[in-house]
Amino acid sequence: MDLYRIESIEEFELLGTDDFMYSKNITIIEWSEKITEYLPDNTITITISILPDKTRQINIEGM
Amino acid sequence: MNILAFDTSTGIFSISLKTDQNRFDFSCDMGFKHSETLVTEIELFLKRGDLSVSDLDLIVCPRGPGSFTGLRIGMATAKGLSLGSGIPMVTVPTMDMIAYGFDYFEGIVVPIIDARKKRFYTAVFSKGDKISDNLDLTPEEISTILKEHERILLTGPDVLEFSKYMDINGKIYIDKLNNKSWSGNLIDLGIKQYKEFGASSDSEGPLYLRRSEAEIGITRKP
Repeated sequence: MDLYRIESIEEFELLGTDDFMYSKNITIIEWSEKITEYLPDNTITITISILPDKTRQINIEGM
Repeated sequence: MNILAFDTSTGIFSISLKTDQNRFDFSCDMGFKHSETLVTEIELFLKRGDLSVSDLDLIVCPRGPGSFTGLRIGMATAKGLSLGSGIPMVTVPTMDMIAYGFDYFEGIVVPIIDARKKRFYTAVFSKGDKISDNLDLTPEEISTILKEHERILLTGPDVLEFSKYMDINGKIYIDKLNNKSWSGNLIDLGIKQYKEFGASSDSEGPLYLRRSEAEIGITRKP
């Protein structure tokens, strides 16, 4: 899911896609900061940062 | 009377068909696959009952609260069958559906559905009567309500999830047996509602218990 255009948590709720996130499958969410309060406790967070030398640093939390 | 009822309001799917002679029930818990399951099961059940859609006298489904997608799938399918074939349909509040049949319990009956964000949909029933509105609360807020009562029965698909937040003492009972299938309850409640109030309005939509699309549209920036 790409939540870039989501403007409120209520708008996300009305989509009904929260059922995907609570299934036994893997859901990958971009712009998840828009729905922080909806994320399950077992969410794994991947942060990709661009370093000065243009390489990427990837932090993975929650494994 | 031939009555078809189905429940897609939670992750547990159930369907029931009652004819003058027979009764069929089915439920399954395989996650939210209702959009794949529902119509196939309706066709199968009609075949079992040796009926076509037009032989039905009533269609029943839950109104909400529950899964937004689940409620929409159920209600849209019920409306499609109802409007297409001219068969009346009624919707039953989900909490009433889950709490049905526990009027013998000497205390309050509290149905529980996971509403995400660490909140739960619930309501309070006493001897078969609903004594609260449909509610969307945190575990702490529900606990405040429960503290006022001496004997409590928690029931519904998400009681075990909810019980993690509760200090389960002697006065709280967890229904571990009946938290699996409610379409049979919809049959009984649907008949009662139809006789008392007639068919649901064509324009009725699901009961979400959250801010509606209209409210979100009003507050959106132009």
